[in-house]
Amino acid sequence: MYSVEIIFITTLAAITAIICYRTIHTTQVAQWRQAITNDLKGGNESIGFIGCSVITHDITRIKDIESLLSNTYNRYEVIIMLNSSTHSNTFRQIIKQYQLTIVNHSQPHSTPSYITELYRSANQTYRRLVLIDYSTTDIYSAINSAIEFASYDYIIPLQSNTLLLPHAIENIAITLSDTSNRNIQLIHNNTIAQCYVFQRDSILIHGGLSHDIITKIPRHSILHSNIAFAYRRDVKHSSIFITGLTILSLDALACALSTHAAIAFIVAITLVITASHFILQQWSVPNCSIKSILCQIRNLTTFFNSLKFNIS
Amino acid sequence: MNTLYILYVIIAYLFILYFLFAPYIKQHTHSALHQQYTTYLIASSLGNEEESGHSLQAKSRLQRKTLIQAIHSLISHTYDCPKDLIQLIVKQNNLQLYILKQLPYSTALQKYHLLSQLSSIIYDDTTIISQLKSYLNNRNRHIRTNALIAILAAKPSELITIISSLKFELQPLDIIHIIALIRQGSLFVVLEPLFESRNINLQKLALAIVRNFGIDIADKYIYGIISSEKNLTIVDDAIYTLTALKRPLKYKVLRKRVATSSEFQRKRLCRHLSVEGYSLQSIKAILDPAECQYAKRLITSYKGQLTQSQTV
Repeated sequence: MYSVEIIFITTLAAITAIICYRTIHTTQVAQWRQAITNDLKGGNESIGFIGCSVITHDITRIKDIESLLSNTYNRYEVIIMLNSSTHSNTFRQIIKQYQLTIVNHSQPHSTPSYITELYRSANQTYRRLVLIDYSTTDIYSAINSAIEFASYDYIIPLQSNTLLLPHAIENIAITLSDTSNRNIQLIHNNTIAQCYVFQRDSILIHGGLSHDIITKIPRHSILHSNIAFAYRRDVKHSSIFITGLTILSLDALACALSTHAAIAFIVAITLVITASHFILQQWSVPNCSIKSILCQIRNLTTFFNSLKFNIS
Repeated sequence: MNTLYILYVIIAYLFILYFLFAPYIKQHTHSALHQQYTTYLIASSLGNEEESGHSLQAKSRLQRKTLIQAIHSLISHTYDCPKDLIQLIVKQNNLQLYILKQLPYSTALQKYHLLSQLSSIIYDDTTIISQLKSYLNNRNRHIRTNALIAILAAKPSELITIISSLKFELQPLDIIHIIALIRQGSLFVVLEPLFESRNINLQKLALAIVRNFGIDIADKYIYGIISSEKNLTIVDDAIYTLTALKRPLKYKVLRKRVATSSEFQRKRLCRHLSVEGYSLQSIKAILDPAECQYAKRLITSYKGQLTQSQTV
């Protein structure tokens, strides 16, 4: 029993040490990036003419669209894909709010089109916004059709509950211009929320966006970034439930072992939650709630997981 | 076992305290003093400079550090800061010497900040500049850049000599920092010698100046680079500068040059031209018709938006 207790506490200490090291490291990287972006404030030039097209789908809250449009960089656009038949009220609301009008568009003949209509704003303030009415249940196909209308070199596909952090696009541009590798096809970040930045031509070369696209991209063309670009607005109840259940069962195991083990476990969990809170504060993540912290813990534990790309 | 356990709990709680309070301590330590100094500096620059400058004294380490930060933030956010007043305060409080003493013992991020602050307070001093030159060979690119900015701020008249003697190639981020220095009025540049030089860094800087200040009389120099330069990065930079300013294009020269670019570069240029508002005819005159299919889709959609905007 005594040796099991030692193993338990040692493992716990090792895991918390790894998490603390990673927290401090990622915070240092974030501080560097914050220093660089602060120094760039006031500059009106895009970094190396790098531009990004954010593609998101089924967004139903105007507040989320506002958040996506409020990034501080001059070369980016937000393409929102919404099915007007299933979200008719939201669709009308967005059109009214952003003074959107239908614009002519010609489809490529080579690919099947799932785009019914394309909308842009008549108001120059909302020139970054493109609304696409799509008619398919296959979200990958819909995004692939939308990519044809993307104006910039890098594509950021986002889930409907994922939003960009305030300097995300600027940080992506800095990340790309900071690397000596000129052939970056994918930037991957999994600090707060999963976020992928694809090179537009890379998607087309690999036959469009699909769940296994990452496996097709050569490893030397993938850049893993410690800088957070996006955060999740809400975390699914199931993930909170699973995280809670894991914590409770481990706590029960610790109690069964000894009082020492139980206290060590509580200390470790407190440390992890505080460290997560620290990271989120350093990154100035909006809506830094207990849900975000749980999400952060989950992301810390999935650090060694293999790459997966799942948009739906 | 007990000793190890107690050690574990103590270390964990020290970390918890660090994570909990570090952001707050960092945020509030200097803020009051910083605000006081900033108010004083603004009032001094608006009022009697000599008198106010003499009464501003920073004796302790914290006071000096905060005073430097206040001066740096004031200079970064204003265009015409009274240099005599700043120089008086800097000399009186030995701020330059303070930073130089701190530099060797600081971390990379601290060095970055200190060099950035030094560029705001530096004045022409041979010993300081010779010390700063050692940082031009630093492994960290951002430290190198800030050392360069500090040297340029100290000796603005020697811009061409300093930049042409650099052993590294300037990146877009570095150029943005130099442009910021020009905007602040700390650096005066004559454009012709930069264009006429064969140095890649000087040419990059010249193109960035043209772009940032919208100089529309530099076309002949830009076309000179496009038609004769062997370095394709500079050629790309020149083409993007020309199109970012929405200048009339010489199709023959551009077509000849673009033909040597890679397929990816040509597609990127096609997108850029579409976004910048060039017509399909212009793009067809530079690129092959097959490559213009994408531009056609994009332009049709953009033109639709423009038509709608005019009617609204």
